[in-house]
Amino acid sequence: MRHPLRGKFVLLAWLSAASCAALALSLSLGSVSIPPADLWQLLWHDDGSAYYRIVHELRLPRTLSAFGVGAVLAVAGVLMQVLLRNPLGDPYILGVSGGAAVAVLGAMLLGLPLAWHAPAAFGGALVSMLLLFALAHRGNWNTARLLLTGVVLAAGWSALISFILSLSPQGRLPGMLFWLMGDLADALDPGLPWLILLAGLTGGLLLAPRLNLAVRGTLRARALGVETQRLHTQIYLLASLLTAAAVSIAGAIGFVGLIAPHMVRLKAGTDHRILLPGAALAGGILLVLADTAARTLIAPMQLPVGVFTAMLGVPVFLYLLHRSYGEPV
Amino acid sequence: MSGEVLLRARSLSLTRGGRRLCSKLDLDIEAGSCWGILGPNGAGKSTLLHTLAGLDRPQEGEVSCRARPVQAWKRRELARELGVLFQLEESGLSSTVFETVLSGRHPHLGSFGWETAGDLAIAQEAIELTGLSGMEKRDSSTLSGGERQRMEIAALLAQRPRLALLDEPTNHLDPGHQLDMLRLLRERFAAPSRGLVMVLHDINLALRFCDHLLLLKGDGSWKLGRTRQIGTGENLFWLFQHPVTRCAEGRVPCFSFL
Repeated sequence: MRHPLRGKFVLLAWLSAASCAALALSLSLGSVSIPPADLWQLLWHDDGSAYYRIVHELRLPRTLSAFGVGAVLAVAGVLMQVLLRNPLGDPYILGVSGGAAVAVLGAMLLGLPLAWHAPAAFGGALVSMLLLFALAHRGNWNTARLLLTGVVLAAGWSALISFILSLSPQGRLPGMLFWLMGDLADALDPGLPWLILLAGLTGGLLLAPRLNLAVRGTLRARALGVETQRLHTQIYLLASLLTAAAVSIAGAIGFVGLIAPHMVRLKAGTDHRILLPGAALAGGILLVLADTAARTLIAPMQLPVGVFTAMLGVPVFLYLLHRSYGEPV
Repeated sequence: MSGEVLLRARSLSLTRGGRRLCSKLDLDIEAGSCWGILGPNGAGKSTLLHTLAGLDRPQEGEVSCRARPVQAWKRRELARELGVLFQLEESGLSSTVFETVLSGRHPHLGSFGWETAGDLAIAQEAIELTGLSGMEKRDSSTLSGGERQRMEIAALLAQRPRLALLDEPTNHLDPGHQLDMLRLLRERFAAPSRGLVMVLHDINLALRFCDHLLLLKGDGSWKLGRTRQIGTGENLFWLFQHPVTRCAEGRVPCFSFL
């Protein structure tokens, strides 16, 4: 008998091909467009031209960073969804990015140097996750309680953000606003997001068989031999660290963790051994395309990338909400 | 019958919301036996089942599986001894029927959690036995209540525990499927070196399928023993505080509430 996952590896192959296409598109589009045929040459051979420098010093780092961050956000989304047993889980919706934003904007307001921004975001995201845990965890994870607590926390952070913005001098406002909607312009070291992705995906895949049981419910998972308390803590920590890392690199980008897993589930089902790598690829593609659109649509002006992910994400969220709670059970 | 004791409870006391449900219960589930748990709403039947499965800690007393306290077992090893059928519950994330049934194999898998051909065959057999053939690839959220109940039973069959603890296995099932599933479960579990404990609401099914009964009243008191001795009209009146009459003289006793 064929293993039910065997046929689904094809999807990973397709997503990998689509990833290459998205990366190529992002590398060739910009203030100067580079034909795909030349792109291949430019990637491997330094012909001394300005094109080589544009590809290698500007576009390649930013594109690879976007892919890595998108993939990390998608993996974090999948993990939050297991914890919530609901496809509506997303670190952005749960207020994690808001906590990071308050910390970064606070640092900007105080005039702290750029090097402090990423650590501040990381700390802010972790504080927000801890707050969410403390407020919403009552011996078990209840979907409605966690979602509502997260949404209200996000509203609270948003009020603090407005407060900081209103105190800030004019000159600092554009930088702050860009950070708030996600900004990959400063993400020029793709090594870090890819390292985080590799660690997060490995951790997720090690947990994958247990994640499959966890979505069936805590009691069922325990009765089938899963130490659920330990598993939930592991999921929670992994999702928190991944989100905090992504937010500290690229700012508050919402909904990637919601859209990417949903797209993969439609085709590949809910087995996390396929869903995790599939969602990572889809999240990478999504953010690369969103970032390409953000920097080319009204070039030379750059738009915040979070605008595009939110425009896609809000309808997807509403659709999922409609489907989850639309029908009486 | 004097088989090996699969599950033993000693002076077990359960409380919920400050109310004592069951006091100083001593229970031995022997291999080869089929137990029915009866009782009114809120009497603590599910709580007792979860406590026996080691999922809840008792207020007092101890549950041991094959002479070892359930809390001392590794969950994974315990899952090869005890399997639980829970009442249906909603999840926002659903898998296909085959994947759900296959998840019952989890306690038997190797360290990478990859299912072998043998595991797939066991899951397929369980699907066929529960009459779900042809639905393997359906998303479980599209199933009817009765079909989902049979899928959960199939997952339990695939798990192949030594002792099955079932919370209302006939829920959502039509009368024909109720009998089919109870026969299947009894054939699989009320067998040498295995056992079966089920919470039932239908007294007549309990009298027909179970050789032992535990009556849980919910005020701390309980009665247990062989069905022939315990399953009397007098005891049923004591349990439910509702007039009951014996409906027909047959080989299997049968009662109806008035």
